[in-house]
Amino acid sequence: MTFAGFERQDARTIWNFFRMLLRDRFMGSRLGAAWSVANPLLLLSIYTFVFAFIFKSRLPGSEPGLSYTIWLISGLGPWLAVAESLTSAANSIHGNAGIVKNLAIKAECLPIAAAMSGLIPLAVSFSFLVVLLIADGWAPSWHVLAIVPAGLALFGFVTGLGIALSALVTFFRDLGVALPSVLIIILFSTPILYPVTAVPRALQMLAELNPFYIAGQWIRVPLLDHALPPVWGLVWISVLAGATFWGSLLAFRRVKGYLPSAV
Amino acid sequence: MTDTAYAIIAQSLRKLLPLERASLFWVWLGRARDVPCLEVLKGVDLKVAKGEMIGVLGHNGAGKTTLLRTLAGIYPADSGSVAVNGDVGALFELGGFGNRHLTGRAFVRKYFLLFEVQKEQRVRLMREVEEFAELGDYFDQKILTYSTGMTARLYFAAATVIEREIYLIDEILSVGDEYFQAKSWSRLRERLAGGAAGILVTHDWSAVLKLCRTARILEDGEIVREGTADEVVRDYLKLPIPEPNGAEIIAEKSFSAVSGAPMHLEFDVVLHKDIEVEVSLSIEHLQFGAGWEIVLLNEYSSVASTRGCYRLRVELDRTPLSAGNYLVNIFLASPADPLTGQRETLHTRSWTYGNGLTMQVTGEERPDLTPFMTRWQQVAS
Repeated sequence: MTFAGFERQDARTIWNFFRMLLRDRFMGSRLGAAWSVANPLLLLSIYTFVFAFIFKSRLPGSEPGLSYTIWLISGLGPWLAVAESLTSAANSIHGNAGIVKNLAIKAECLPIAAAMSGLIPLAVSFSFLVVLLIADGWAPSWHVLAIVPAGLALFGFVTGLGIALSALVTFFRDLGVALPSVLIIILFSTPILYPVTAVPRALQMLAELNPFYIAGQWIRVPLLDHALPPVWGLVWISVLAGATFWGSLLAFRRVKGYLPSAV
Repeated sequence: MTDTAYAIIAQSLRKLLPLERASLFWVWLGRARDVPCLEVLKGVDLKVAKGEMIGVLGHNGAGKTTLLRTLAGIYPADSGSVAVNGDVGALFELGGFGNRHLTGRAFVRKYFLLFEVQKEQRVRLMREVEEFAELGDYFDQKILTYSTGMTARLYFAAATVIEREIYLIDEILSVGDEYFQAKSWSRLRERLAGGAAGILVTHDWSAVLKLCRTARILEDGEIVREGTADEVVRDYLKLPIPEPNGAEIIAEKSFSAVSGAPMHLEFDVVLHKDIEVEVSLSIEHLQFGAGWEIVLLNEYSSVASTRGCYRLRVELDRTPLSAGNYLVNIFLASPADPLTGQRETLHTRSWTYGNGLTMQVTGEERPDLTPFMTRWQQVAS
């Protein structure tokens, strides 16, 4: 059984790479795996502190405090996962030159496995979020199920970008260096830390097409408002995810043969 | 032989390597099909029979590593074909997967993960690596605290713990101290005695003699020579046949002796001028794929110092060699300088120059006699 040029055994390869990347990432630091949990928590804390307590940001019609914090984290958590996935996937070929050069592998498995590493900050921030929600007296509704298709579309989109970046970083090393800044720019230009209504009217339509915003909405709205955002958004990001994933994979496979000698 | 008798068949193998990375961007975009490349392999034909280990000798840049990577399926061939019949153990850039922050044990665990070692085998194999590498407590320390030799031991132990049918080996046998090298050699021989096939690419000709029956020379991406290991090594070394320098060895091409019986080797030395000459002689045994040993070697001893022809005779009460073919090398030199200990070579007859002598020993197999390698082989079978 094959799918998009992947065979069944590639799933195991991806899984093995995923485990390997996780082990490698936090080896050499004294606290090891504890960092993978501590990192997102620290980031969530600092953003919450700055936005909720220094800037005293609040949502239109609500008080600053717990509800804003919950709103913030429900958007920021998935973003941390996206940032982790993209960074990790972008460096997955170049950073694992030893494997690419010395092992006959299906190279595209590496960025895919690396993109999965976003699942760790995602799980951490969701757990944190659920604790806060319960403290706020929250109960889930059936709408939370919408998170699944939205999450999958987001994952497909991010993985596609990651596959593209992983090849590009091997040709242009500078990209890997520039990526963290690019991610910060995307974060602040996407209505994640502020509501879309705060965006200047002229740019609002553009912001509403931003796949990161839409995916964020499809996670945030079902959770907090017990409702669903417009369905066209989900369709749009699913199409975008499919196209990005497929296109990147195609481009990646064109240069794949050169990668072991280029890293 | 039918194709199934081969472990590796490569036909008209061509491999191009890109010269600049940035130009690959256009290929990635689909706007270009080719990029500026260097043709590293220019149509290599290579067949390795099952159970055979061949040597590929070449200087730096000849394409040796590219050849192995292409055979291993890491580099796709640009044209030509590769067929590999069996599971491959690639022993090159050992530890390339590494991360020096890992402990020895964690490195091996990663290695097992990458090679998808079955869960039930991991404990046993891990113990084998631990025992073979002999790192003691360091096995649970980070690799970056290791010495070069310790790192090499860990990597070699991990890379060879899984038995394979085909080994692709790149210059790895010069790792560690002499004790560990001997251990590595015996592990490789063990693997080969088990019927494994493979290729050893190296510029170390003595390694080829120790491990391979036949060899090739790879030069500028092409196989330019093919033959038995000693012939190929001689061509690879391309040592100029030494001209007599005041003194000359005159000898039949071949000697003979009977195992256990008295041995007489006779040859003449001509002194073309008044010059002090000393002689040394060695008998070597070359057993392809198993070893290359100097079995007899004498000290330099004085011949003469005035012009003339002298007959030299080497006598032993008992030929301490079991039946087989041996190589005889004779060296003429001036006496050692008392200060530097150096000698001036006057004439040499040695197989490495292609002007060597041979000796055929006949008689019954005598397990109490050299060469030792033969005995080793009998035990293994």
